[in-house]
Amino acid sequence: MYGTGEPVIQTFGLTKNFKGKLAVENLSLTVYRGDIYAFLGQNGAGKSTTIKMLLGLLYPTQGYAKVLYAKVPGELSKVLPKIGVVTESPAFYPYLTGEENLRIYAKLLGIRSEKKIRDVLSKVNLLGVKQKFSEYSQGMKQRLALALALLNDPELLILDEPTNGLDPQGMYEIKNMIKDLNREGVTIFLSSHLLSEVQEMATRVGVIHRGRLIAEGSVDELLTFGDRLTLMASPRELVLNVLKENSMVKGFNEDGDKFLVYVDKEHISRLNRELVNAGIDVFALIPVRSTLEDFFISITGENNYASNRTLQTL
Amino acid sequence: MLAIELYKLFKQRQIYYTFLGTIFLVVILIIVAKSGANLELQLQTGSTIDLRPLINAYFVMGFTLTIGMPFLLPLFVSLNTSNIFTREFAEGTIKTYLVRIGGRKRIFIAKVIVNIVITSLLLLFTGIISFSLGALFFGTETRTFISPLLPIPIPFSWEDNFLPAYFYSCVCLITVASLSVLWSVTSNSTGETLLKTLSTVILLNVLSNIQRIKPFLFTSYLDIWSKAWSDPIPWAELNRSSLILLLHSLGFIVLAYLFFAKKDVTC
Ligand SMILES: Nc1ncnc2c1ncn2[C@@H]1O[C@H](COP(=O)(O)OP(=O)(O)O)[C@@H](O)[C@H]1O
Ligand SMILES: [Mg+2]
Repeated sequence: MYGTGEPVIQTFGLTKNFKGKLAVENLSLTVYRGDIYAFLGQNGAGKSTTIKMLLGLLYPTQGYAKVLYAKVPGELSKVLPKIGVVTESPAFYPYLTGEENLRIYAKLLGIRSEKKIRDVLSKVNLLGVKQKFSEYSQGMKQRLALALALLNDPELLILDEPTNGLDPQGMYEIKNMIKDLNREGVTIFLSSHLLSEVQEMATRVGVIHRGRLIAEGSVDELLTFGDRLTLMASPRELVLNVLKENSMVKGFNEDGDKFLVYVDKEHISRLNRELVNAGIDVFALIPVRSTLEDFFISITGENNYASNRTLQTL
Repeated sequence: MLAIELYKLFKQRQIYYTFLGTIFLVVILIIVAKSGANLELQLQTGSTIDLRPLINAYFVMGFTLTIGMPFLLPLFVSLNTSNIFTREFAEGTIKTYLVRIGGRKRIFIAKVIVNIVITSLLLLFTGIISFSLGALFFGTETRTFISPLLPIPIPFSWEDNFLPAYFYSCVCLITVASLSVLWSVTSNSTGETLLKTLSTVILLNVLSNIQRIKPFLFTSYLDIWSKAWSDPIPWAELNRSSLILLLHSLGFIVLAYLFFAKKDVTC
């Protein structure tokens, strides 16, 4: 489901200064109704700080935010019943079971039906779990947080790295749940430091880097920044020469016996010709759709994602 | 809201420790009294009076305050406060509450009320347990009481001595609890709250040795409960002191709220 014109989250020059440490700087973003908005950034980029300001936990040093038209933090309480939240490191009363924890919040929300509690618990596979929260694993904590977020059938879900600490199966389930909810009309705002995790489901993306929003747009918009080719050719020396000299080539990486070449679409056949003219055997020249990771690397000029990437391809 | 705060309170094991603690205090007291230590009074004439036959449930009940009020009961009260307030910051549950239900004022007020309730309950429990254990071991026949201040037998009554003593103790402890609330919202661990509260009380007590500033320190009034055994009982002074203590409590609570309302919840 793609976003419509109605903004459900807006921030205006949001800034947070932690005693001299600028965690978020002049950040303005917009999430539209119906979006799955992925808020992307490396660890420490300022995602959680932004989300905590949206939720009135932290007070902005400057700027302000509006969530479902309510000004934060003053009017937030009014719209909270329409919002579900999973914060980073979910916290519940450790001396109670998951169900007892939910029951407390259900009472405070005015939800009478025990069935609703059982429904959300079974949705996250925690129905019948009798352990106290203090004995929960990280994944169970995360799932209980999601259950709480769903308790009131929210129209907006704000999730701070919701798959944190989950095993691959759990991640898969949460992603499916997010997609299903979005299909039912729930707007999703989720943060992640794993680009590939959100790429296939996000309708819009905002990239935060060192506290600043450095890009915002639809996935398609962001991914047309350039085209990537997988090039297999030899001899290596000659190929390197051409790639270095040729002005059509915006950049390249060597990856084993392959080269990843960034070049505009319209130049592909010309590049092929010039490689052949230089006496190079071209075995393969395959266009690859760019990933958000490529985008991120191209825009920040940093390649800190290498380790994540290998993890993700598991 | 209030009911839920109470429910949460009584689901915490730590709360019962403070109640167990007062039982412990009373039991120790009884053991000491049974052993008869220091209960022979040397008179100026040279003769001695043995006070042991005078020990009764009333003595135990009064003496529990004498022993408990300077340190142990404030410690327990502060422990409960930090379990009500600081624990939610330390464990991050306040964050979950604020983003799910919202409204800082509501939860703060509920917690302050629960805090006062548990403080009063603790003292009520102390009174009941000390009297009943005292009755069990020493009986209640002797209708005399040995003043905790001067170990001389004096007549007493429930209305004039015991109930006021426990009532004014409650006022004193609520003041400590309120101070603890103030430190609670500015601490990140329950131990920190405890330490800050007790240090404040102890340091101010040391300062109150300077007579000139003594009347301006709230800690100077934390022993007013013992005046319920003076003869005659200085009611006017007691009430004035209580008012000062309650105003301090209010001040601490308001200050704590202002802190809490502006606090960045970083957990
Ligand atoms: N309470 C705090 N006090 C000081 N610095 C903080 C605090 N919380 C976060 N920061 C700093 O702000 C930056 C952004 O943190 P955070 O928003 O948690 O990043 P992310 O969620 O994107 O990983 C980090 O450099 C972090 O060290
Ligand atoms: Mg984070």
